[in-house]
Amino acid sequence: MNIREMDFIEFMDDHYADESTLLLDVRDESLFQRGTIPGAVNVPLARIRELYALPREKTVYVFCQSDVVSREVTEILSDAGYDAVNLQGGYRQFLRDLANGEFDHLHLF
Amino acid sequence: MAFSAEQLERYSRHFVLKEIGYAGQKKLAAAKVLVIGAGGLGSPSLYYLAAAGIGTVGVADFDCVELSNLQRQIIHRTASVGTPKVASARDAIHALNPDVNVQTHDLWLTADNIAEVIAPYDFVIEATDSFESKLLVNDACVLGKKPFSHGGMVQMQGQTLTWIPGEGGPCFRCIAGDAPDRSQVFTCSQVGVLGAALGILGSIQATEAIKYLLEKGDLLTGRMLFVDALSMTFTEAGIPNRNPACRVCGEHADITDLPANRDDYTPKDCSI
Repeated sequence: MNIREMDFIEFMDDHYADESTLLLDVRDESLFQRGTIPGAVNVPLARIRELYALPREKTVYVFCQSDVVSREVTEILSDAGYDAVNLQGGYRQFLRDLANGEFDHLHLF
Repeated sequence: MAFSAEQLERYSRHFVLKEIGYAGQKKLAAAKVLVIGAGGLGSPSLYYLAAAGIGTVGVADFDCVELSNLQRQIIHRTASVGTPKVASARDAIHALNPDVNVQTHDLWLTADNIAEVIAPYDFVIEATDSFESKLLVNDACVLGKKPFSHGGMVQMQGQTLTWIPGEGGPCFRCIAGDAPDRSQVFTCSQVGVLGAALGILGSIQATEAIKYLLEKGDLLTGRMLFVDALSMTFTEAGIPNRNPACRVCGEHADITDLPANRDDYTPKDCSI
């Protein structure tokens, strides 16, 4: 199945602040607590059932540490009728982009 | 959606396994695997196929559960002694994974009925207890172009190979030929067998079935794997091509019709 994908730069600029955006962090809770993208909700694999409880009217943008798990979750959600998008490169990529100043204009931190 | 919330949780360890993922799990859910023999080798296979979420699992066995089976046939239990093995297996499978569609074949497989029984399945696991049965399943799968896993074990030594149609690899008959005279064959009731060793071999057979369905990894085609659980050594005999003299898949195959050759598969009375 082909899933929708997007890089963080496009996401943060064009969709991050949208009302209809739901940002989903699928990493383990301990990683989520350590640090995540502001506004993200956490559905770790240990609570994978909760995926289907996500609001269907939102567009779900999914990330994990790199890519692997978020792609599977994007596929699961898409198959269940959600509008879901995989964020390429995961939290690691977000941090790299952040360090490169890509999100300075958003004043996240 | 392909899976319920509960199934998402059940198969979560598959979703993150790169050889499976969500797409692979859907393949398993759509698949049909037949296990011929709900005994020592069939038991671990049946359990692991069910656990993995194979959509339809067929189990073929004509026998009833006996107390002496329970030393190794772990799909059964004390309470099912005296009941048909297929029903006992079905109950165990459903206790583990109620989502599996279990098809029971409570019959003695013969040259006259086996083709129809195996037809709907994607893969067959041969887990029978006699040379004649192994050759019957082998020949039926070769003639029916049905991918299958051959397996056999006595005491603590066993073997397994996988046959896929169209690859030109050896079938079981290529290597074993005709069934030896019964006086030369040792059965498990005569020389014994260790349950845990059967667990090793049966699990290998289930793994082969799953890999075939996922189209991942390297199957035991063109090679026979020998397992000696006593020395815990695994050795392989590489046999890349079919035997040109094989009676069912060779160049001048004389076994082209199972019922016509039914004498080759004379049933044994003693089961293990």
